[in-house]
Amino acid sequence: MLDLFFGPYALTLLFLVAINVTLAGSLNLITGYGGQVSIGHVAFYAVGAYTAAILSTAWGWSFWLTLPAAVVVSFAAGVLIGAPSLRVEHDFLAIVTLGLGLVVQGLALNLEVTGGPYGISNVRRIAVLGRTLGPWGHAALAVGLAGLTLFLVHRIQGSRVGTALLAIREDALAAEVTGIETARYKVLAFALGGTFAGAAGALYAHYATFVSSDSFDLAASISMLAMAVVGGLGTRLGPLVGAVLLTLVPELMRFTAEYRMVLYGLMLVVMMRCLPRGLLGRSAIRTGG
Amino acid sequence: MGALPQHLVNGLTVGSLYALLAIGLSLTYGVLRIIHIAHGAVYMLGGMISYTLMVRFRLPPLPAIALTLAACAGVGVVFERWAYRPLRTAPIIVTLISSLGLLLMVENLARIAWGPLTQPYPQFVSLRVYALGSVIVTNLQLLVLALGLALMVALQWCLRHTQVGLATLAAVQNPRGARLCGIDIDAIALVIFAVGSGLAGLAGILEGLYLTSVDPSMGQIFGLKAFVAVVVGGLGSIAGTMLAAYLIGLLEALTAAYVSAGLRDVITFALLVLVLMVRPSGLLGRRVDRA
Repeated sequence: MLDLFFGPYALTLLFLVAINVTLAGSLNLITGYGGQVSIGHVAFYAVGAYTAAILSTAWGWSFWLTLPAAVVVSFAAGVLIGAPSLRVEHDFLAIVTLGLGLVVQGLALNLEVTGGPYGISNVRRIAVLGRTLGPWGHAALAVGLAGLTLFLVHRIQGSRVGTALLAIREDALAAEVTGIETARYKVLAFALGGTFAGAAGALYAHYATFVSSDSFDLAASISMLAMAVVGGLGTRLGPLVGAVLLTLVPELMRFTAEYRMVLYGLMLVVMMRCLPRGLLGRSAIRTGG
Repeated sequence: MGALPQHLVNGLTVGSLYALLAIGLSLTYGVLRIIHIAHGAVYMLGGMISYTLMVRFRLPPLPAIALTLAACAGVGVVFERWAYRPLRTAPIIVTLISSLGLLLMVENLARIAWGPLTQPYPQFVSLRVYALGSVIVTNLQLLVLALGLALMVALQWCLRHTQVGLATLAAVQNPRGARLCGIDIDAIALVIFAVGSGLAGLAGILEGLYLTSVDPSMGQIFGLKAFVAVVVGGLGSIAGTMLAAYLIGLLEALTAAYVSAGLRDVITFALLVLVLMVRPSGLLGRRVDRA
């Protein structure tokens, strides 16, 4: 019985839930607080994962070096991917980010440095003081990252940056008129949000010891957005609730075997019909609408 | 460069298929402001249902096609009534998630029903090859091109000369104003979903004929590219959508021929981003009124 809660399977689930909380929480910064719909969040996750995998296999770097590198690279990717948000808004931005996500996945599948369709294997395991981490250690690291993400996003939201983002979300023109440099903050939201997702990618790469472009497809992007929306966009704990629910429900539905993804899709449609603002959302959010 | 005209013909043929699919997306976005990603699933159903009717139930091609188009139109109407209409006033991100849910549902159901493998599509039109100088054109390509163009012209005629068509155009231009003038948006929504989904089903059938195979995963990327045509052409601009669909077909044929077949999709989506950076409302688009 204890095994069910503390066994390797439970710890694997805990790890995945925590990674998804990090992804949904960081997307919440961009879409929930920043009001910029992104269907390409998987791109940052991919950038972080590949950065870590390449540095680890080519130069033998450990996780403690690839993590900061992944953070820097995904912050830069955030600036790049956030740049279109200066020109393109609302529904168009949603489609552009979707396109960028597919471009990143397509590059991963076709470039030599990313191993093409074979991906990159033999990424070094995470070690602390010369001892390789077990399931407990990985789960603890992932939970730590998720907690840090939620905490920092909360702090950002309460800061000048967060206030500026809220102002831009509610009325970009009015924000600009009151002296908020909307361009800077929009890109900053993408860069900060992307950084957390990149860190999650690095952690995942070392945990799985393998990355391939299959993990970074449209479905992955969809589920990140779904977690943020189902939990409640622009709420503090929405990403946590959404990520826990949408990670565990498909697991619990494993007995339905091949109908699992059908039921997952059905759940998304029904959820949107019954709770369009998400489980924790109270006020209407003007995200992209 | 000797092969260039050949690539152009191939590109235009694929462009026709994108155009058939993109029309439905353009209308649904124009009238309802929804990003109908699940449209690609209807296109896939067009290929798979017609395949089953002809191979499993041994129906002759014409009744099989008619039944398929009716089924696809029906699926579109069900989508509209069940997943989109209750969300008419919700933010676009909510309908987007709903649409993605539909896509996941239908694609995975199809994978269960038909298995994940590629199926050889019955070639009910016997292949003929014509040589125009150095360019080789098949009767299938001519069929796809002619059918695509004819349907597009017919659709434009209907939009401009019928009551429903004019009401649809009015709703595309200004959904709120149209409603104030007494235009029944719900009725128009059903019509455009029925017609758009029928055209998507037809595109699925033509794809089966043209590429000689169908599979349950054929809809996702194809549907997204049709959406790229809608966005690049200018959301809500039907002429722009068609133009962009043919341009994307050409671009892909040329990329596959001269750059790399693997990078074809990457370049299509990169083009989307570039066009929108330069012209944020698309090639022929105007700024969209937010209802």
